[in-house]
Amino acid sequence: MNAQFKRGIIELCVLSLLIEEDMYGYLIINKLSQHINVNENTIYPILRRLTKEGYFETYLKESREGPSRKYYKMTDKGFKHYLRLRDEWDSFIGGVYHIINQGGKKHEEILERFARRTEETESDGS
Amino acid sequence: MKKFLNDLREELKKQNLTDLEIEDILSDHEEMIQTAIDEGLSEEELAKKFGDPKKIAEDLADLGAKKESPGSGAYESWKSFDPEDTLDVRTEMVDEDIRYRPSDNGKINVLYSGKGTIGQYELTYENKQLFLKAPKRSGIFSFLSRSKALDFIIEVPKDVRITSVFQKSVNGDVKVEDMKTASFELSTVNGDALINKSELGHAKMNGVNGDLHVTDTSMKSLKFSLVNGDLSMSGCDVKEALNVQTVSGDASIKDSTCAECGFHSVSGDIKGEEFYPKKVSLKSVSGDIIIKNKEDRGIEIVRKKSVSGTVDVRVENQE
Repeated sequence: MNAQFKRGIIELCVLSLLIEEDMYGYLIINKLSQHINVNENTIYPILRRLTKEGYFETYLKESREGPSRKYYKMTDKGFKHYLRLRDEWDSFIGGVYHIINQGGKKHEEILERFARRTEETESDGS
Repeated sequence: MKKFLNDLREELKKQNLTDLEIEDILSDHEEMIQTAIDEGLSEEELAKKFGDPKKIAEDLADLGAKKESPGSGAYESWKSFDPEDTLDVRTEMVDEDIRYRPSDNGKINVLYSGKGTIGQYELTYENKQLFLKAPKRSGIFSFLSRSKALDFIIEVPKDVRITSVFQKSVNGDVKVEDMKTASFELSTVNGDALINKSELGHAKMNGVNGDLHVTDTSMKSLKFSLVNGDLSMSGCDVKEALNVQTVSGDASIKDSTCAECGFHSVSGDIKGEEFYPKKVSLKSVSGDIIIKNKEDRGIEIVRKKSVSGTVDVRVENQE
């Protein structure tokens, strides 16, 4: 996948996670990598940039295991940014789904359509 | 973990980040790795999860606070091509500035500078045409392409005949120095053009706000058509027609000559000093053509159509 495109999507995912609750870095990485194929490599720079841009604040909190951890907390500015990205995303992905579903939604549907189309072209040719 | 952190430190240093920034990034990583170890991740899993320090450092460099930037403004070479007898240059830019200058190694060289990602630019050289294109920065999905603009230098050997230079841009500026081209066309919204000591052949510039400054340059013709842009010319020779069309832009012309000067404007003026067109024509609402010369070479007023504008040619012999 195009790197820029992927980064944009991950930015949206990171923001979504922090809408739920404040989290520390490793937890964010862990949660995201459970669902999508990403690693720290991609996530940390995004986390840092969003913090620099004022979308997150950070604070330190003791952990049960010992050392304190840096927690990321969404700011008002972050919420607004998220809403704007979310709208962009919904309208984009909604459009994409509209287009790709025109060919059919499920595998069977698509295969059936393909078989039908093949038949049509064959009978046209004869 | 030690190795990862050490590698990361080295890579971050290469990116010229401040010490403070580096320590902060390292302590974040130390914490994240420690947490991962506490959760029982194996070495292998760790490596997979944390990836390549070099890549992290490069991604971070874009946004980090940099130390002094000795390299800023320095250009790096990107690609070089073996020239043929003629060359056609076409560029499509957004915010990028482009400079044209002669090459001194017999090749066509393209250099760049800035923090953008060079890989996003398209550069081809085929059929005697050099084509450079900037990535699109779309409005709706701007968050997907958070890229910065680069600046470019295009170098062409002097013995290559440039048949045309065509540039489309939004905000990018163009600078041409010591070049010879049979045609030059610039289409811009806000970009400015600076031309010095060149031969442009048929030159055209159109747009909204850009300015054109031409010095010590000869042209076959010049067609300048902008809404608010200004034109300044000095030491120029336009062999055929000089056409200036503006709404409110002004032109200031010094020590220059042309065959016919046509000016079409709402409120812009042409102010000439030692400006010797053979013929002038004016079409305006309130715009004037005012020329002050030392010699009387006879300037013919071909046509004047204006509500309140005038053509005023004065010869002031100071001796």
